[in-house]
Formats: sequence, C-alpha cells, structure tokens
Amino acid sequence: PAERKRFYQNVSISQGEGGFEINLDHRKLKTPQAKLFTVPSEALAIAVATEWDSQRDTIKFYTMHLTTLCNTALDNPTQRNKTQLIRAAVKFLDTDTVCYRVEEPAALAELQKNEWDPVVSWAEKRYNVAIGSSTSILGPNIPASTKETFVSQLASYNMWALQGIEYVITQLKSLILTMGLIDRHITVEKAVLLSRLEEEYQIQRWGNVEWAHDYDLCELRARAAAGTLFVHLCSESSTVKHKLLQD
Amino acid sequence: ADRPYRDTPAYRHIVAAFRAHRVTSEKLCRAQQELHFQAATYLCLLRSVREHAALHREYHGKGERSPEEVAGLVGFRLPQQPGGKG
Repeated sequence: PAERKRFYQNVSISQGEGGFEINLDHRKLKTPQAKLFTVPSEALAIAVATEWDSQRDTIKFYTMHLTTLCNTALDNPTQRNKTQLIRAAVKFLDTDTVCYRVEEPAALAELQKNEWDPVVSWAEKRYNVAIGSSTSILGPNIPASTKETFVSQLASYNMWALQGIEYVITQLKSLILTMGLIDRHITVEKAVLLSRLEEEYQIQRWGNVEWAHDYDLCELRARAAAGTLFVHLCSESSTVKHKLLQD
Repeated sequence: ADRPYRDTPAYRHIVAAFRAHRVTSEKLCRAQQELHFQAATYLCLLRSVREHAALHREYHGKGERSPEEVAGLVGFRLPQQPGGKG
C-alpha cells in the first residue's frame, strides 16, 4: 500500500551494537528487506526519527527521504559495490547538465553561459581538471584524466556517503553540481536552480504552472537537500563510527 | 503528537551543536561554516517537504470527483429516482 496508518505513539533512538536504532514505541524499525535499521551517525538517526514523528494519520513514505536513503544504504537493492557506484557517478560527466549547452534560443544560451560557466570553472580549479562545455549533440568531450581524478576523489568516501552522492547526481543530472554541494560551494536552492535552468527559463517566458512546476521544484529541492545532508552526516569523522561503515 | 518544537530531539541536537561551536578561532571557523551549511540544508529539506506535501494535497490528493460534483460543476443536479430506474 502507498500509505499506512501511523501505528505508533512514540519515536525514540537508542544505541545498539551496529549503530543507532529507531524505536517506534517498543518496536525496532527494520528495512524493507527486514534488516535491523541502524545508522552510523547520531545526528542522522535523530533526523530519521524526526521524519517518523512528523507523520500524522498516515505514513507518507514519499516524504521520508532520509529514511529511504538509509534503507538503500542498508539493503543495497541494486547490489552495486563501491567501484560500480563510482563508475555510475562519474559516467554522468559525459552528459553533465552544466556542460551540455544549446545554441538557440540566444537568450537561453546566454543564460547557460552566465550561470553555468562559473560553476564549471570552480570545479576545474578545485579539482585541477579540464572539463569545458559543448553545444555538440554528443555532449562535452571529457578527458580520461579528468574522469580518473573524480574516480579517485570519490573513492575517498565511504559506501554510505557514496550512495548519497550517486543519488544526488541522479536527481540533479549533474556530477559537477553535486560536487558543488558536497564541497559546500553552492546551496541546495542554487544547485536545484542551476539544474533546472532551462525549466526556469521556460517558466519565465511562458508562465508558471503551480501544480506541475512548483511541485517538481519542491520535490527536487527535498531530494537534493536530503542527499546532501545524508552525505555530510555519513562523512563527519566526529559523529561517525567508522568501523560500522562497510567499505 | 504535537509538542513544542523546542522539545524535539532534532531541535535540542542542533542547538547543542551550535553552542559547542561558539568559541571562535581560526581552526574552528571552518567547523562553524560547515555547521551553518548543514543547518541551511536541513532547513531546505524541512521546508521543501512541507511545501511539496501541501501541493500534493492540493492538486494530487483529491482523486476523482463524484457524479454529483461533476453535475454541480456545470450547474446541474442529478435527478432523484427513489424507486430506481424502473
């Protein structure tokens, strides 16, 4: 069922052997694959508990993004290992939103240049790589050395953080914007705006349709924010029990 | 359960984290910036989820209209047939 009635009164967290657990009354939360739900970060556990406690009459799973991310990290339903995740993430560079430019209309091409060039430059300086942009239908031509740099950069993240990074990349359709978020160079609102630049351009030209545009905008913001928060909370050495995170 | 936001674990955690980072020095400045970014990101998450849920209720949650509602849209009322169609 898409929705389930709230079946618990109290939500609390507790610390077990595997990490922090979520308690719904006396029941311990489990993943979809019936594993015990444990997270390595107390802050993350609190945020997940807050999601569960925010539910009213029915549990709206589609609003519980942090819970969903934790379930994915715990169950790994796509059965991908670290190498495969990194490869999937870096592959997005070939069709990265901020590198894929139009020639027409001129106003949109100008907007893309003004809004996307700075973040591409930032990534090039920050990671000492060549990226560029392209109006070719094949997309930008990313040098192999650039991809290798990002592969080794992403390898420094643990498996949980990588799930989060790959999730945000998929949502924003951009590795570069995601790195901008991970490095705290841009805010979530800015990253989403840059990801949806063409939509925003069309909305300004043709008008806003609240039930479609704002709906999509809010959903993308929620997902990107959840993913970013998830990555940071899983990466902090002060709050994370490293031995609990399988690499 | 609707209790004051100050009573929630999330609020207490965030306040404690900000208090812990209140001492300013070069070394800790970066930690403060990271905490600010985290708080801003969490705010974005909470706000966006709330707005999305509101839009969902408004536009996507209502389901199909009943025949009575549809008739009412164009100013009609459905005929009353207490004995059925016969």
